[in-house]
Amino acid sequence: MIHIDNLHINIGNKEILKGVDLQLEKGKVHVLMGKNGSGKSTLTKAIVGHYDVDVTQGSIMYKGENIVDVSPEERALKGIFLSFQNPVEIDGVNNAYFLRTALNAKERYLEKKETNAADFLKLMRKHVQELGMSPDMIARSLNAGFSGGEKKRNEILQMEILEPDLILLDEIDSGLDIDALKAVAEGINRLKDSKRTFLIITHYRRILDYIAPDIVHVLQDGKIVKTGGFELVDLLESEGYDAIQKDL
Amino acid sequence: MLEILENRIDAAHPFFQQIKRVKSEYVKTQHFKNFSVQAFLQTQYTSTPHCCSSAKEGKQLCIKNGAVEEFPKGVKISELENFNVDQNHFDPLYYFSHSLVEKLIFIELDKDISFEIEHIVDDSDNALSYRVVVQVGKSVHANIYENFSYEGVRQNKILYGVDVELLSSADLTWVRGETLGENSLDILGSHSFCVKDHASLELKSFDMGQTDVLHIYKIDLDEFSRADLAHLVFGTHKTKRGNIAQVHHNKAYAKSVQEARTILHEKATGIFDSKITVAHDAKYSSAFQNSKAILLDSNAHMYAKPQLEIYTDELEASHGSTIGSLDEDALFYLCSRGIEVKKAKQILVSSFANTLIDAISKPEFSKKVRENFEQVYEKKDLL
Repeated sequence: MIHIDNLHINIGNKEILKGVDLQLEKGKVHVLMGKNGSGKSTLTKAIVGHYDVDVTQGSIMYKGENIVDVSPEERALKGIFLSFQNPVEIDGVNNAYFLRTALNAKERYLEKKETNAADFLKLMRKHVQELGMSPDMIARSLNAGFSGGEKKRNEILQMEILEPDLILLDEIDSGLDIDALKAVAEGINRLKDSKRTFLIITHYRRILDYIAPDIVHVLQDGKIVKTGGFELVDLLESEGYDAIQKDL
Repeated sequence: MLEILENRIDAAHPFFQQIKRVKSEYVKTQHFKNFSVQAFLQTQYTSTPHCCSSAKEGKQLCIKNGAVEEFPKGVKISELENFNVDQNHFDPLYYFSHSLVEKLIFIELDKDISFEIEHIVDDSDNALSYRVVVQVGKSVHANIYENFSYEGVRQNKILYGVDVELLSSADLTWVRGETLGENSLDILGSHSFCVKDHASLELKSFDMGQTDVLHIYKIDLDEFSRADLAHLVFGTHKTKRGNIAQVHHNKAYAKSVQEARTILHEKATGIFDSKITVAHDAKYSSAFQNSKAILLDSNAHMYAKPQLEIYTDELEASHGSTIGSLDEDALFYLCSRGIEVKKAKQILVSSFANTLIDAISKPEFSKKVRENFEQVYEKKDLL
């Protein structure tokens, strides 16, 4: 699905990623763990083409194409989705209008018939109900005045409706109560299939108990230093990142 | 420049002294410095008889070339000759426009009513000056939607104004929409609103045309009164547009909220110069003022001057102003969902305007303003 090779990223004048090599397989759920400041969010920003990041070296091959110079909107249309750690609040933009605009853009890109307003509303209501969201969020301004949990559910709602191929979830579990965590995890599980790839960034195993990841990576000081199975999560939970340091 | 004005008014005229009184402060204002006030001062105006005897009862209040042609049922219209002008207005053009009109259009609202005022201008040869006086009776609820339109007019001017009095416990919603086309009508409005005890004024203006337009307001608040003010300005080309206000909290427990949003494109200039004054006796006042401007072009200019002048300790007050471009994070967020940059920018500009449009308390007025905004905005290839 995506092959990242020797990726070096600067933000401002500071080098954050110092040669990341990472392969995310089609149909698999990958987890990325690492200390604060290790470069996890920067990696997801690089994949979606955030204006902050400056790729100084390396490549990001997605479906056989190096996307380093592709615009963020085109990357999204090609199927890459990032659930933001802190989604922005945009007062005055209706949630449903925004999401239908995004869905219609994708449908046009894929040369499909555009979903009309009535059908979209039905689709949105169905997902809102499944995620346990309040129906009034359909008509509210995008993330404006939402609680942390509501914002995270809204990210999952967008993910479910846009049906991307590569899903990057940046600390989707942070700040969620037990019910919200379960609802978000169920949303993720509904989209898991043999064609879709997930990269979940998290500090805790709570959400992973619901999702059951396939592969775990550890990022340290701008590089992937360890890749393994779920046992790596157990190791980090019990011994911390020092356990990885000993192996290096 | 104000010498022009003094030369046009007889020294014996009572307004001459008023103009002299406010002159020194006036030259410091943002609109004096940045709006084409001089062009309005030099223009020769025609003041027509205000209430045509042939005015008919109809759906709306129609003022054509400064004269009433049609008025809605339930609205009492008459001509007023001797009007007591606001003796403490800060704007010399308020007195200048009063000096030009012999008769004013008097609208008396003594029962609950909702109607539209349509100003129509089809005279290219004569610049117009006219004024309207509105009195909203005790405990009366009134809603007015005001609109300016033109028919084939080229480069004309209107010096206009309203003097509005809300009696005790009255409630007035006044929404002004304006989408005048390029080189049609430049408007300078100088107004006075007097809000008596327990009365409530919602005054919202949506200036989205392509000509030079400036509105100047003085608002006086009595005990337990309230003023909700909002101004949306959307300027393109080389237009100069803005809102000037002085809000006076004269008695205790009054509340004023003023929100200005300005969107400027190309070489447009926006002006927001507003002062809230809270008098010594106006304890427990609430006064909030905010101006936000988005510049869509490096050649656009915004002059914002929010001010508070407070003479009491017991109050709640804030003011602020921001001028900037579109929020990069918000733009990226929309693009990260596959929305193309141009569309994303349009969404953000619309959202900026929508916060004021959505806040209009009357949904039917809000719908009209939204339709006007979309029509003007979508016609232009702004981004």
